[in-house]
Amino acid sequence: MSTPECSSLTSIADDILSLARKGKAGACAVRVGSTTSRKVVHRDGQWEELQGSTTLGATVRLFVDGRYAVHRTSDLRPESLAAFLTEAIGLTRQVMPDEHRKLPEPSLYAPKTPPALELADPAVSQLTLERRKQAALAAFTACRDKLGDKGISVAATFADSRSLGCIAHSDGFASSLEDTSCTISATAAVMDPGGGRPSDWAYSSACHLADLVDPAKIGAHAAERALRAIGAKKIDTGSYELLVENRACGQLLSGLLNPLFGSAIFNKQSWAADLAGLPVAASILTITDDPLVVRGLGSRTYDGEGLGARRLPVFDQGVLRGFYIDTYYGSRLGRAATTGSPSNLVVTPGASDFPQLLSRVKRGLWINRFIGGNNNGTTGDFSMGLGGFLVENGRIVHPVIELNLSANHKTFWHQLAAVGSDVLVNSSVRTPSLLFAPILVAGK
Amino acid sequence: MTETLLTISEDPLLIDRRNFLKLAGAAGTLGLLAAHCTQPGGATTPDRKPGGQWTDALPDALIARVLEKALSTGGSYCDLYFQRRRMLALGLEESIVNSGYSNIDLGAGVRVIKDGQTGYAFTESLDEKSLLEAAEMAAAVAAGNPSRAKTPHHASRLPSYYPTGPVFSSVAPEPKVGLLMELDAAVRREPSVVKVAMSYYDEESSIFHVDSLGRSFRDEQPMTMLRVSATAEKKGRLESNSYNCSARAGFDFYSPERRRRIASETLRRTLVLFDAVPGPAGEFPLVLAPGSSGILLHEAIGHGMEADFAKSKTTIYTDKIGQRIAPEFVTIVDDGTLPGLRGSIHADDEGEKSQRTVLVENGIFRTFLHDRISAEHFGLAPTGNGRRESFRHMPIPRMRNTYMLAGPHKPSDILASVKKGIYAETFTNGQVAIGAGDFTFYIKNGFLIEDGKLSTPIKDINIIGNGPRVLENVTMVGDDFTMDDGAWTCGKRGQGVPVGLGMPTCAVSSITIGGSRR
Repeated sequence: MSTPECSSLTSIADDILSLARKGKAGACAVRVGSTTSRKVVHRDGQWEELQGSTTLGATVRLFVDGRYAVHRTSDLRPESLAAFLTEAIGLTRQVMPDEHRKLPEPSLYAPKTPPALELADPAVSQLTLERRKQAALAAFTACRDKLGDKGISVAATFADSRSLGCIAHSDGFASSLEDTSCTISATAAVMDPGGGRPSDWAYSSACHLADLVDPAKIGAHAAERALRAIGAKKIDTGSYELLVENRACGQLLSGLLNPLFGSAIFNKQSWAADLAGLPVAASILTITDDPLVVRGLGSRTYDGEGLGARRLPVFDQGVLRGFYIDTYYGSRLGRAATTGSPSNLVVTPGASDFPQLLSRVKRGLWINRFIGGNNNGTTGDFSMGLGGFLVENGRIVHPVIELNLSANHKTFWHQLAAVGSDVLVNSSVRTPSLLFAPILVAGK
Repeated sequence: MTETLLTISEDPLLIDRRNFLKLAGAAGTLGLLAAHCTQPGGATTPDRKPGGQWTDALPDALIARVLEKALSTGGSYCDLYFQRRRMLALGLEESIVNSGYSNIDLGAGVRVIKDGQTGYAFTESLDEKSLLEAAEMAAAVAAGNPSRAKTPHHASRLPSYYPTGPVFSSVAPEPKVGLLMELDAAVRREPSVVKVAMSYYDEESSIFHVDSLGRSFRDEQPMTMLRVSATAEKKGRLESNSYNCSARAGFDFYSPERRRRIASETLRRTLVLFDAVPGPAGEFPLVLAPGSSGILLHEAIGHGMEADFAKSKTTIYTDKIGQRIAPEFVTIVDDGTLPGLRGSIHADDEGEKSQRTVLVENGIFRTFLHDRISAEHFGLAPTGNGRRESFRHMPIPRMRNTYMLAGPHKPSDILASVKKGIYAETFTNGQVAIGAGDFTFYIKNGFLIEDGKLSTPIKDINIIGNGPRVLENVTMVGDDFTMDDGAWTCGKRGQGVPVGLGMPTCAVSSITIGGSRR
């Protein structure tokens, strides 16, 4: 990227590197980023929010006399940077030395010519307030019309952003990235004769404007989802198959991934630390961390510390293969660094589409959302509230409330019975729906 | 493990892609982001003279021009919110304080309201051009003839619930490093402890609000928090837990007594897990321990009583004002006036003085929590609940410190009343769907109750219930009210704000315990 905007970010980064050198910092890594965001929210005939902003800031990672600290500022005027660096170096000297704090291994850096991932769409920067309002209004109108007199409130949002980032290290590494994103969403609340006011939402999100789903479809879908939530009932504690909707799977997957991070392994808070090469899930589960998905919402050419984007096999046919290890924890653990942060989590799809998965369920739950809950990364225990529908003999019976699932990740993923073909492309978690064999669910 | 997040699930996740990457991709070190600066040189508006205000570089004439631009399309109200925030964080691993983080956050938000609609824009540069651009963007919410701001603006006098000034920047790094080293040594005195990790955070936020009604206020808001996590090993088995505390107070918050408590509670909460069993599945009586059990109020009641949800009629408490929603001995307040607490605030982020707001009085629902927009909609006075995460966000109705007052019952009698049930003691997070009323909270430590006594410890179990039904099912409230000092952050519409919780011992006759055995 060689736009004037980008070279102005790069020159700020170079100034910071030169100031760090003058201040006798042993090494320095700078990221300078600028983001422009816009958002419009229409609710019930009014513009509830019209928002806009541009941010510009620098994050400076300093390595001074074997000590390490990170500093951030949004004041990038040349006259302010010198004072900022002096102070940042002074503060870095106050922490204690740690030989494991260092810049990445140069061979892992992103290449000079990164792959073209089509993450920036010029059409996003050219959007006008009127276009944004039209999109939100279209979603709002479709949603309200579909709800009819059962609707209480409808809100529709159009949001977009454009980010420019550059990274420069004192060892000569430098790279930059531009990306855009846009999102249309609708939320509908409806009256349940039973007294509740259930709501649900739908959305579409993409890097390119042309990849967004038609706003009217999003609005109508939000309405359908809210309407079908009417009439929720509690059900008995018992054993149920679980069919988890693709967009809800992210929360489940995060509990599976948390123990794969270097910090968790090093602090002995990882139930999976010693399971590399062993089956942790059923053999139908294959997950790859893939930063190179073209137009992917989690795609990137380098990570936060400049490590080049590489595909990381995490689970291969159920066998644990990959861990999220940054430079610091790699040094601590004596392992090669991969990356410290996930990009796109790609679950390899199976052969069955959603209707086929649903038809397989004899007595189970179709889970649309998890409510709260948490994971114990050390032991693998987890417990989460469930929202969704009772399913009997492949047919959706009624919505359910006040249900909770408690299990342990070490055994739970072996219960995986089928992986759908309905991959979610609206998210950096690119997963289809997942079907699990019967498990105890707490109800009444 | 997610810590101390209290969220509502009503809104689609509108974290944009860039924010998501920021959260996920920080090559930094600490879960808590923070910073520190001992001189104001890092700001766009340096002090003119010793003892001067950073806002001195914002002359009245400039403010008047920004207000004029913001109201140029006929907005009925506008406010400017200038903020400078210094943050410092320190991280400990392997018994060394081996990472630091500092940040100076500086910027201004411009808000224009027209007929209940909000235009909002912020800038990270305080020069005239950037401020006028932000004002113009916010003004897009209206489309009429210019309106006028009242000038000059008069500064409000604020109460004093916490120290102001260079509360943390005047403290050298050494005692902060020393605090972590001392706590590490104290926790490691237990021989089964194999890992200890800690983070320390402090911030000074300086606020200047000025609005078109001719009002202004300045506040300086300190905040500190500390988190300790420990992993212990016994017979090849690992267990970990953590402890955190927070206050809007100075460094003297970390008194010798508090330091002892941090170390002993971290150990007690971790070591008891070796004896813990999985909890049961199904409906059982629940006894809530005093203190952080206030999470029940926050999720089951508090969010549903935020007035933006009443305005859109999406909360389950819509149209319930004046009705009995709990037994006579239940009184619940949301209070920003308690000295030194994490959720306390001199004035909310739109200039309304903080107050003690009674939500539920002797079982009767009295009021929603209002910001300026909702109060105007309902023709009521604001309750001082219009809060925001920073200048990057517009204010919306938010809780402060939410708690239930002490009741008539003895804690021992409450426990004795339960034949078979659950005692919930510590929590990590909760969530609520405000329309359906379904809420959850995650119990990290608890006990089974058998024949009116605490028996086997339990762990890692989520509770799920329905707000209004749980309130109706409160059967006893203890006389042992306790305010919690945990580092609770409440998330709503993409904004996190610090809040407090408090509770006496309390019994609920029946709720779904989400365990893994029958």
